[in-house]
Amino acid sequence: MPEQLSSLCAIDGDIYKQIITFVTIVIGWVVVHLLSSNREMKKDKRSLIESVRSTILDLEKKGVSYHTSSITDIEQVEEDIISCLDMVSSRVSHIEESFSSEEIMALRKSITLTNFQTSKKTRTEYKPNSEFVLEIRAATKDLCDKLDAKFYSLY
Amino acid sequence: MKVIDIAKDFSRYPAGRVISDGPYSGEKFRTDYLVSAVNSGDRFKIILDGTRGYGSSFLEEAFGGLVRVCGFNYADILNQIDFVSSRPVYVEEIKEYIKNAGTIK
Repeated sequence: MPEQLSSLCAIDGDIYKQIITFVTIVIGWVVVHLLSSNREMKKDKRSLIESVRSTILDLEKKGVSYHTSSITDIEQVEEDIISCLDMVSSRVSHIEESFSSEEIMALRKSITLTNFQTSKKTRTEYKPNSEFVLEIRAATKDLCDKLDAKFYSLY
Repeated sequence: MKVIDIAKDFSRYPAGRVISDGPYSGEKFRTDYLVSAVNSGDRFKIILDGTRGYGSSFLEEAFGGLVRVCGFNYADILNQIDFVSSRPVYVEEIKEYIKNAGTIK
């Protein structure tokens, strides 16, 4: 009888060891999976930020050029600017839901609130060092700074 | 509830501030769609999605103009309109124009 009991205990001990080993493996796998998916998500966000940043810098060039020079295909340029701004507005909300709209609004306003999509008679060509143009540059910088801060917080 | 879908009911390419800027300006949208909807006194929904995007001048003239030009009360307008957009920035911007037009007055 005691021999049977001790052999049963030995079997139980083996089962416990196997269960502990199995649970440890599963926990390890879950932890590695979570860390890896978190790392991938951060990587994706960083690449999204880089792409948005590049679009914003492109927008700055287009906006400044639009307001400082005479353009032949003006409607096409206007539509291009509107499309880019729309894309930035959409993508930024994918970077972070709580991403403040303040800087995006400032950039949109600096380029499209006045002297934009107007009839040719009322359109003004500003000087490159005018306050109007400096406002576009400042709004671009503020938005890029904010994206940079988000970018580096993802390391 | 009345629904105004800008892309379907007005244009996929809204552009410009005043009527002389083009056929789908903010002023045109305001006078043809918004004024009657606000005058009805009922709540209504505006769908902003589906267009190629909006210039700030269009949004300011269409929505800020309701207060600045037409003399509606800004708080009433904000209570009356439900905005639907996948870009939160448009809704925030519109609300800012409506509020600013009301407070500047």
